Amino acid sequence: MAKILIVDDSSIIRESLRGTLAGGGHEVLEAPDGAQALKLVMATPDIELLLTDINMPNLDGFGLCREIMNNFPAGRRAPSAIALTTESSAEMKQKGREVGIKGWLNKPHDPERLLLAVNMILEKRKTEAVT
Amino acid sequence: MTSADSMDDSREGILKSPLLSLGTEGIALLDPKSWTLMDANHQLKTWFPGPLIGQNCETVLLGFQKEFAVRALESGQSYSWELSTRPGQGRSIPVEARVIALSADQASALAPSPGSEAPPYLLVLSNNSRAKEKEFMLKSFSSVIDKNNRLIKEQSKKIETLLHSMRQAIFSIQENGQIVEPVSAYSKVVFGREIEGLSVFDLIYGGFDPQSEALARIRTAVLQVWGADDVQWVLSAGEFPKRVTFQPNSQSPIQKLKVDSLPIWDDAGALSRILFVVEDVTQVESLEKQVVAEKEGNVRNLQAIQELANLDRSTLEFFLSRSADDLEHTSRDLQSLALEAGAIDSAFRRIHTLKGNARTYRLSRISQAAHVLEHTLTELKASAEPVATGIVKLAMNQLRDVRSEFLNYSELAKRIFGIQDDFRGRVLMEIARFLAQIEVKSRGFGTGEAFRVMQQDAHRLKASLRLLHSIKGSFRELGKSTLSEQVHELETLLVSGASGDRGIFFNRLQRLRIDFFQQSSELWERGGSDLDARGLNRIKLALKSVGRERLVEASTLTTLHDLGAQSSGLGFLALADLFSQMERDFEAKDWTHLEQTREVAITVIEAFSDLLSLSSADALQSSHAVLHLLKSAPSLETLTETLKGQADHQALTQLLFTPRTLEVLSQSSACLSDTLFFVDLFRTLYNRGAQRQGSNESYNHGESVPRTTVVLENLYEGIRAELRREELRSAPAVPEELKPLWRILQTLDQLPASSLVGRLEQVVGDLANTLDRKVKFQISGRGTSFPRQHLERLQDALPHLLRNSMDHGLERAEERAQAGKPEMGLLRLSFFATEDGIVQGEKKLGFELSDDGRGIDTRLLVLKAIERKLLTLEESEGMDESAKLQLIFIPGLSTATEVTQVSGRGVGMDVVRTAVDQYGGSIRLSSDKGKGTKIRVEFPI
Repeated sequence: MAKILIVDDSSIIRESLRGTLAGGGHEVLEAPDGAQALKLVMATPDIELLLTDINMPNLDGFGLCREIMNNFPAGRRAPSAIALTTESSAEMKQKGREVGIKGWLNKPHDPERLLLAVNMILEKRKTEAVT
Repeated sequence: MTSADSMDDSREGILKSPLLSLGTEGIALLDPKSWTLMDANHQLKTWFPGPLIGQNCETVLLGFQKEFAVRALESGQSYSWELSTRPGQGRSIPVEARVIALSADQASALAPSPGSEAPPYLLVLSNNSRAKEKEFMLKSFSSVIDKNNRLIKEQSKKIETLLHSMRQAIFSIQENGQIVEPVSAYSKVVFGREIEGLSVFDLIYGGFDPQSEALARIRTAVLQVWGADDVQWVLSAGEFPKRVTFQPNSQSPIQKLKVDSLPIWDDAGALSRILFVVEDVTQVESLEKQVVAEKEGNVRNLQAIQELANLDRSTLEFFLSRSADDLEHTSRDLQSLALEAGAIDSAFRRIHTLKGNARTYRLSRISQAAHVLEHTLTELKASAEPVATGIVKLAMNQLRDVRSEFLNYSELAKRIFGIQDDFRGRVLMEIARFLAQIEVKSRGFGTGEAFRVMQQDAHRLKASLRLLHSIKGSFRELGKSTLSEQVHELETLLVSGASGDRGIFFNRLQRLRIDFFQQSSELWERGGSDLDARGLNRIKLALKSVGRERLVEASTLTTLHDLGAQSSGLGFLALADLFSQMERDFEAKDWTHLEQTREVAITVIEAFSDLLSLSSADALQSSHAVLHLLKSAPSLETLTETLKGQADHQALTQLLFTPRTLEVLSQSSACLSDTLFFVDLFRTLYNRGAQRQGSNESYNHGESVPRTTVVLENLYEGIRAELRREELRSAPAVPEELKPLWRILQTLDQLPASSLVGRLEQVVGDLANTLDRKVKFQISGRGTSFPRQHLERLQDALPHLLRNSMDHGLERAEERAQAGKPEMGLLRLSFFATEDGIVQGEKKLGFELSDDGRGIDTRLLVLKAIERKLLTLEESEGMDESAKLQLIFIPGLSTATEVTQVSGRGVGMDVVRTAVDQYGGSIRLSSDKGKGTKIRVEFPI
């Protein structure tokens, strides 16, 4: 079970993701835009995973991930990120790769698949941490 | 081998291996003795241009080393080495060679090996540069195969031969969606064409609107997963639809495909290919639907059982027997709408009654279905067109629904409560009729004559007694002890009859008959309890018109209530009253009034028949007979002349039953006994009514009850006297008095084919809808009786035959039109009994089903049999047409090129054969290609 932050300006999307993740036993935090999410991430070092929208006011998803990648304190492990999207293009995929986005989740999401993917990412983080 | 090249081309097709479709592999068959090439695929020829077939492989295949090959074969292991291609132009590519010793089975699966004793070796050359990828693909293949097909798993070492039997389309795509090898051979079967090089978006997702969100999501998912890891696969793969529809071209039926997608990773764990496994589940899906429907059916059944459980047994029996009748008649009515003016009214009345009854007994699903049909019939009645075909068709379908609900209930009642529908009423009726016939016939012959006939034919008598005995038992089981006792008495009477006093014998016989009539009249009474207000009103009005208001009142207030059978009670009373009025008119020589009364009687009987028609077809027939008599009475002048000076009851009888009308009647012996039956019924009911209100003062309309009874008695005797005279005039050559009994008795363990008909019509109707066929279904010999167990078997087997005929035999309307046939296909089913005797043991029962469809393609049958190795080519050459036709009975062998949801698995014919074999029957099959198929099944008795 992990601490997961959901970042989306739509409260409906946040609510629906929270439902899935909380149902999977995870602790869920929420933020309505990139700027607030960034503050929360910096203040909550044990957040392991970020589910973030791309198009958001103040700071978008790419910006959020870039900020985290560049500014996360050395010696601590930055949270992994999954981007929420309704469509993707090759450019977006490329851009995401550059800022360390681990995967793309299409909205609306399939709860089972999301939980499975989240658990896979968390597993991977564990083995990476060991090595 | 100078013409090796052209020979190559001509023989290329022989290698029917799916390996061909693997594309990048060069494949050859080697003669195990000479190591010469027996066959080669296209890829091999591309790599090694020039003559190949018949050449030694060491000579033509650069680098081929026989000793390597031998070692590989001896060690039984896959042993590979490199050799170089010999292209005409361009650079030589290294290929990896493997030699596989084929088993005889595998060899023949790949290619026929004419003349060669030992199976050939298979040589597989793969492009080395892609060997690794290939290996991976094959691994994925085999895992898919393992998962999906146990049979194939047993041979999983030789993937190539496995591909041959795989029933899935398997292929992979690259990033732009293009389909690339390997592509399994079966893909061509699923998609109806070669698919390599096509885009997956055009193929399996071709059914999506290009602008649709769903397709956009699939494209997005492909983009997302490509080169990404397993997490992304999990996140995106849900976007690939598991089920898609596919239509090879606009004319073909729509297929349902099940699509599984599997990721293939490169060494770095990035997705490099998506493997698709596609299965045609059109049929599976329809099976799934069936399962769901069955589940729903179970819930329905539970409800039905609860409803049935609330009813007592006799009510249920009554309802079932009566409704079965109603449904059958309604079906006939609907079919004869164009021909008979009253058909729609009759259908409406029956369904209305059925609905009312079902509602009363709270059999909800029947009443609901009947309600829907009733509504349609109302529309039909109101329709301006004489026959509104659209509505008729709708009504037919709805009638099918009602029938199917009804059958469902009646099946349950039979299964759970052990109730046989319509058993008791029919047996009673038949016994009564039988006795009437004995009386009629024996009087015709003189009392002693019938006796003699019965004595002579002790065998028949015994058979009848045996069956009577079972009837007795059945009645006892049904809790009808009175009936059981009566049958017992009849039994005793028949046993002792031969030695007893004739007069006593006939008196007792007559008394028994009346008893039986009384019993059956009780059934009619119950039948009359659902009062048709309009019919009753017509009777009342008719009676009022001749000043019989008081009778109406009295009947309504007391008699009807007492009898518990309003309509039939009033009907009979009214008739009794009218007959006595006619008698008085006759005595007073008031011809005008007599004529008027007769008119009223006709009206009453007409209205009465309407009521009776609600309760029983048989009673209806009887009342028709009387109506006919009334209507055809001679003109008044003739009457006056004839009756001059004969002011007695006989004269009244003659008024009603003239020689002319009797002539008409006597043409049908059934009609005679029906008439007798009717009069009996009439008298019985009247007497009962009279007894009950003997002291009732309100029933006082200037006519003494006993006097009316006397009239009736005389009328009755008069009719019998006339009948007797008629009998003597046209004394039949063959005594038939036992035949009707035989028929009744048969109902115990015999069923008429008509009991199947409803179900079969339903099957054909449904199939016509499902398969889009136009068909006329003719059934003859409905009355043929079958032993119950045979019929039950037929009930299972016949639908298979019908399905076969409808699906494979009868063509669609367009196809028929092209073949110069009428668009409407003809399906004929006739039940028959080849010999009507009951003594001789030679009787055969059976049916014949014929269609005027395309017939059975025996050539295709033989090919299929050879393909399945049930037959060799040589054997097939020695077979004549009928022997070839017999192949159709082999389980699993079907000429159908595709399995549809209806048929094509080749199981049906096997079921039929099994059913027939079990009773020592025989099947004769004949088929005329292009003209139709006929199947005749016979059972010995």
